[in-house]
Amino acid sequence: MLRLGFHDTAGVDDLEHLSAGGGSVLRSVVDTVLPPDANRSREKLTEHVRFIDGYLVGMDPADLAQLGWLLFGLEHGTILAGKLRRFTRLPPADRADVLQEWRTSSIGLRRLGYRSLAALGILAFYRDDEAFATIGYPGPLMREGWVGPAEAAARYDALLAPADAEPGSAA
Amino acid sequence: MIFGADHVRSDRVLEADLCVVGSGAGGAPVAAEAVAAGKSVVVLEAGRFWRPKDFTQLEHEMFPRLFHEKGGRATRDKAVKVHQGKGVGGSTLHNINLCKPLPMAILRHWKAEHGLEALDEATATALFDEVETRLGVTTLTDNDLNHNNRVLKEGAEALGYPGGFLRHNRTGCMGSGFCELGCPFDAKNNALKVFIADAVAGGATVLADTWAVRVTLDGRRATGVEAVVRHPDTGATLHRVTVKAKAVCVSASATATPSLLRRSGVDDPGALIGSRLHLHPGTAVAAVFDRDLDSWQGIPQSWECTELLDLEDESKDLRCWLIAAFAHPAGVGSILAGFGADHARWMKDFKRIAAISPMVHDHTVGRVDPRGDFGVSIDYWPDEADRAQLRRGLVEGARILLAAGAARVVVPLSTPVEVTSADEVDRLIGSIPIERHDIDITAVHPMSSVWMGDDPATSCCDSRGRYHHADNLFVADTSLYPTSIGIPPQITTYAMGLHVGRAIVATL
Ligand SMILES: Cc1cc2nc3c(=O)[nH]c(=O)nc-3n(C[C@H](O)[C@H](O)[C@H](O)COP(=O)(O)OP(=O)(O)OC[C@H]3O[C@@H](n4cnc5c(N)ncnc54)[C@H](O)[C@@H]3O)c2cc1C
Ligand code: SF4
Repeated sequence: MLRLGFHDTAGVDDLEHLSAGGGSVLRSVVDTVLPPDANRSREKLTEHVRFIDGYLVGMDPADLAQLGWLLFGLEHGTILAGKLRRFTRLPPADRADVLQEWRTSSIGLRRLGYRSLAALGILAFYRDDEAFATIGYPGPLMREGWVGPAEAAARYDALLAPADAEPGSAA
Repeated sequence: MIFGADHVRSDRVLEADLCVVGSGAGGAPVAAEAVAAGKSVVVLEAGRFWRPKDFTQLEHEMFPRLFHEKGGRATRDKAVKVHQGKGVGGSTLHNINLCKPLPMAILRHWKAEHGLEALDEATATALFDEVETRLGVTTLTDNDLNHNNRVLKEGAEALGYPGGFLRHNRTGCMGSGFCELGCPFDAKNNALKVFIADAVAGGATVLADTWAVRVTLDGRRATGVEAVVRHPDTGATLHRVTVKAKAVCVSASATATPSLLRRSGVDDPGALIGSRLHLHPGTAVAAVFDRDLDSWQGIPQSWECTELLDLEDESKDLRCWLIAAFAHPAGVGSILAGFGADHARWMKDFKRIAAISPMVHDHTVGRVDPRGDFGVSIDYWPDEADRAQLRRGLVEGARILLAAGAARVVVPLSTPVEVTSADEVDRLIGSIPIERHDIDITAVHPMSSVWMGDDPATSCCDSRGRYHHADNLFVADTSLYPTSIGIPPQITTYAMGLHVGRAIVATL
């Protein structure tokens, strides 16, 4: 994973799949992608980044490396959107300009980069009642645990081998 | 019984008459047929065994559980998303339950091109009837329409476009609308509930969390399958499993089946395997209404519009199926809306959005290759003619939405195209570019990568699913189709599963 250096990495310096620098860039991306909210805390943003990092578990190493490069390119490619500072150091409106430039770029790979990062941010955001409430979505029906048919539970449980069973014979 | 990673504590060897790879719409009926005929069966399934109580109705939890690559599978250039399921029951765990048998016009076309001596119209029709009976398929009615589907129906009818209620395999459905995240209410009569349950009751052994890595061969004879049990979250290899079998049936889907066969080094003199992939690609047009629709609620796809679909008369070149399309917040948000304030503007209308998806009976030919020990590498981008069909679908979808009373319609390109009146549709949508990474193109019906035909020089399997260049190696999944079928494939796939299963039994 790439090391980006000179980042505010508090809260993202122990990620499992992204480097601390990558996590820091991602935090700025998430901040820009999500619906504006003056009350959104830095802790909440960090929590979104940590969720995304966890989501990357099991991801193909080549895809993971690409994500690292993507964050690196975003952080250091701001000049192409006419900005003189790195992405994480830009004020929010300038970050939005950069993402908009990526979103509508004539270069397909930049549009792809935007789409991939935006999708991760959006997935991280719509996870809880607070986010659901902003769009009038009630969320899952089963809040107090599973309330499906008990008969079905028993039927499926009966298909599962006992915990101490092992299939076939030892190799 | 069904075993998972927790049950396998050391490298294992199993012996059976038949080893089936994959437990979805293709593999599950194969297993059930073989068991019913008294054969011993081992099923290997890469995904977990999920039960109704595991379906939490939350996207961020269910995508990783139910979809390969957590729902992020895509073509190599990532321009087309390819959603494919995993878990005991395969893609039928999360599919929408819509049931359409193979159009006879397509079967006739296949027969004209490829013979298919074991699959005539009467045999196929009997198989479809049998599958529909076993899956409890019924025709939906007006009572089953949610608001999104009512919009589609009313808009289409206002324009005089043809359509109709769809048939579904659900029993006791309470219309929660969470189908694509798995059914917690056990209302789906899917591969797990119907065929795997039968197979297990008859003595089949199902190994979940177990990835087939290669089919083992002794000359022309398949002798079994080498597999590994992987950690369901990290993918780390935990143990090896060797299945020794008299016959092997690969039913791992139209992407994983050709990949597994290629990885196994099966004889393929014409280099055909994986070379003829179709995806039935789709996209979406959305609209905001001035009333609440709550489109995520209710049965997601209950009515179809066939204005642009005529699979009987090819000369009309009508290859686009129009269907309601909606998802939950992350799904909708990532396709429809931009970011920041723009995103908030669209999503504030989440309750008032309806969407229609055009899906194209594609002529584009793609290919799929193995990627590493477990993955797939897909090359596909719809050709100009197929993109024109998609564009036509967007135009008619927009017209339908406006005819149903939409206040504004949007085609979610990178720079979204918004339309507020029918007069603007042709001008603004009729010529939109369909370019990579500029519009969401999603495929949920990959097929035709190891296709059947009578001639080993021009096809991979015979019309009983037997691979031409091996004696006891079979394929039973959507790979078998010689072309796209232009409609959702589950019924045809289940039917082919029964058909191939019976053919296998006859050889054992
Ligand atoms: C979102 C969505 C909605 C859909 N809705 C509908 C619908 O309403 N109606 C309809 O007709 N069709 C629908 N489909 C399509 C339908 O579900 C599939 O066409 C059908 O299930 C395909 O059957 P299959 O056996 O080819 O593959 P699958 O059902 O996908 O089964 C293949 C199985 O093989 C397993 N596998 C893969 N590789 C390996 C390996 N190496 N080792 C072991 N196991 C492996 C996979 O994990 C999977 O479980 C939908 C699909 C999607 C994605
Ligand atoms: S709509 Fe019906 S089939 Fe779909 S998840 Fe809800 S109860 Fe299950």
